[in-house]
Amino acid sequence: MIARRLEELDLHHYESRLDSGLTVSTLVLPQFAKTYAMLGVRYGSMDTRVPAPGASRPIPAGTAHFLEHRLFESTDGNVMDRFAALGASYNAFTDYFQTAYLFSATSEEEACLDHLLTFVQHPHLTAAGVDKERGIIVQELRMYRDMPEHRSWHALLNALYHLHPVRQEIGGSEQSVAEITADLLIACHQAFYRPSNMRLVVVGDVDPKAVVAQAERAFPTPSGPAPAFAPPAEPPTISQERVETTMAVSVPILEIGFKDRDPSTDLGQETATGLMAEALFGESSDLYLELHRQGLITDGFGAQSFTGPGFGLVAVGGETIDPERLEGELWRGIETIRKNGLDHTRVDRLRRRQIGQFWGLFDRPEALAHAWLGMAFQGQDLFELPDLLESITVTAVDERLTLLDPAQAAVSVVRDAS
Amino acid sequence: MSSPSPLHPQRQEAGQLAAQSPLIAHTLPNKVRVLLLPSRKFRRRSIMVTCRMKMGEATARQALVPAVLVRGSSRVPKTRELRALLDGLYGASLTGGASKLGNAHLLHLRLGCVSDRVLPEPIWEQALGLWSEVLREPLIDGDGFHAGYLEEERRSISNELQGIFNNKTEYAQIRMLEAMFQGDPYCQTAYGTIEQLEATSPKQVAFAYRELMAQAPITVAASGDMDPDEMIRQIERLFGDLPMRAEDPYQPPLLPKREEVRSVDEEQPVDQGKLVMGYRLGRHAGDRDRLAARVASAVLGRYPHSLLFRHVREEASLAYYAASQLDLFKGLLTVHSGIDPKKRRPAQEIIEQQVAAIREGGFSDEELEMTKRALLNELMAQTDRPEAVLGQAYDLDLLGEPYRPEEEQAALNAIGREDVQHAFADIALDTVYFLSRREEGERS
Repeated sequence: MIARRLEELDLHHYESRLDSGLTVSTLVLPQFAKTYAMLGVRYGSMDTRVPAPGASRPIPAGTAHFLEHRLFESTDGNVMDRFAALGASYNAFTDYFQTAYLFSATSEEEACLDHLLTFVQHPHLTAAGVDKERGIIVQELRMYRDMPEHRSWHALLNALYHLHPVRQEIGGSEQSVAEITADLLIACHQAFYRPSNMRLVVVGDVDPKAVVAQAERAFPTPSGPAPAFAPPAEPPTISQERVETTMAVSVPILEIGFKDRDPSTDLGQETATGLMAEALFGESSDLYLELHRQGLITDGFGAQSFTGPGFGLVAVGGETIDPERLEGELWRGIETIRKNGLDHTRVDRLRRRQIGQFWGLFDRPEALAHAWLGMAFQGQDLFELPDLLESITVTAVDERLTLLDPAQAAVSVVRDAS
Repeated sequence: MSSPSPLHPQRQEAGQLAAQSPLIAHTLPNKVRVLLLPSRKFRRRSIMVTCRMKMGEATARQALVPAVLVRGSSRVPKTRELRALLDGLYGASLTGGASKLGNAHLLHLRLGCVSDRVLPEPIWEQALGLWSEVLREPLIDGDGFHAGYLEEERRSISNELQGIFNNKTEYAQIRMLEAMFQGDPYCQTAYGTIEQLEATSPKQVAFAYRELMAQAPITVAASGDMDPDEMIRQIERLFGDLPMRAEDPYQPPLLPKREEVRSVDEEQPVDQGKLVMGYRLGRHAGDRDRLAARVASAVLGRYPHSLLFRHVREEASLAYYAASQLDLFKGLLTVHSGIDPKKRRPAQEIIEQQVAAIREGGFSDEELEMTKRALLNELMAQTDRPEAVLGQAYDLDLLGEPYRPEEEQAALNAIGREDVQHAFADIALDTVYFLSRREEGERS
């Protein structure tokens, strides 16, 4: 046995689905001063249509993110002022598949939770507010445009996918946000911000029953289902083998992405993929050490697997002074491993490493809540990880090497404009 | 301030903050300092040694010491083998790094791992052994560090430094510091400069290592599930043989006055302009009103309810971000923002107005209250992060002060608007740095 059970460590998590459809998840962390709460909506940049009378209509890219920004203005006044008056810190974010609102508080937790549960239901969406926000969002998009890693990642997704909306920038473009109106935001809010489409995650030294009772008061009634995400008929092949971006950089970036022909959000498969990528590209791998020895990588180098409904990929790369040489070395390393297979004792050590990382989450309430919520929206259960890591076979990890098929790969390079 | 919450049926009240996380400070006979945060609340434990040197000519070679140490020890010379051992110890992390605190240069070697009680097999003794071996029995052949590892780490740090240009926010801040602190090593990064790195030999790094072990003030800080007496005995076994540590009391920073504001403009093909302003605060970490200075800086630009965010972003839609940052160990306040390149003048004007507003009391009681509450929340939340508690305890220890969050809490509550205004009484704008692209048809 290499992993112990949560209960043995006196850690308890609770999950219940309320009559309204809201799912409430609580993890008790004894003695923690901070309560961390996230209210997530299963609505992100990948949702590209909203129901309209008759049929449905397309949503401009960046709408979920725009709505998240505007939700901080509620009919009861400025949402941030209320959190600030309660002494809490608060934030929100939008990604491909979800929008989440969160706070962290060490006092007045009940009032903070009430506020969180209420303000997302009562937005104040006006034309003037939408116009003012556009200027701020355009500045945010420009900030991202100046970030080379962001540009490389976005270009890579576009090279791998033909149709899937994971291609779109989360914040949209200056053109697409110009099309967003208050009416559209209201329609999206009504369609997606329904309790059946939302999850509350609370981590801290809290009473789970009290959390549920509060959530029940805030969401007393069901309001029907939200639009389901329907992945488009994405071809299994990649769209483009190679993409180059030029901008002001001192150190270029190289990333290779591998598109999964048969993507799945099954946690067992994703765990196997993660172990395979770590075994091949992680800091203790022969390949990593060799690339470091040659001065081809920096600390930011690494591999990540990224899956969701209708897509799945593994990307490896980072900043490098010589993208061509790095690419050559990566292909050589991948070919060798695909021929010889993984070192089994190494996979076993990495399994332990990931179990250690899992336990580390319980010292970081934010990281734990983020992982829990994000995985739950994919139908995955974070707390299955120790069992999975214990039981996964080396063969299953070895099999994931088929993912690194050169025919399924796209390369993204960012280099200096001059 | 807060009523007992039904969400927290058994939680202790804030007044018992200290009782929740008692920090133990101890000095070994050779003046090595020990800071311990024993607690069963966490599932991980850690131990970190910090050696304190000065920023200057030797910054790069000092920073290379921890980078090379973590590559291997005389017993486990191969990095591959060392990392395999750490992976097998449930992903224990052994990391080396450098940071700066004012003009002090801090070199760290840290071990973090899962507590034995969480695992089916104990690992602490073995992990601690690796950490101490790497530190005390390094891979020095002849009179220099392993030349191959040194070369790799030198190139890696050099690439990182070169890569700062890719991150415009960080790049702009460093360029502002370079303009404001010409000739002062404070303008270097904690890893020195590329030129310094290139001029460093294996011998010099080994010399820097011996200097650290021979005389640098050393603090060993540990957190997690431990018996404090046993931990002190262990630390004494590992460090008791070191020579007597040098005295190096805290000295307040010197910031020479400048008659005129220095202005530096730089052009690059960027989409967003970066405006960074450096202020001499006239207050530092050892001052009585350092807490008031922290509150003042926070009212100005730490939170979304702060003046900068409200006025520069929300009201004028000029920026995506606008925030202030304080380094009390240097007496420096920095305001940084990402703005529309065409709106530099109005943005700078609004920022200067907000700084003046703090000095002149142009903020509401509500804004002050919200800021104090947010800082109190941070102070409380910090007790959940052992590395943050130990970091703050280290800074205070340098000033010769104990870590007493409950006293800080009371002091924070007692701060009034006059204190905040007074903290900014001597503030002066020193340097303005602006990064943008050249606009067509615009005067340059």
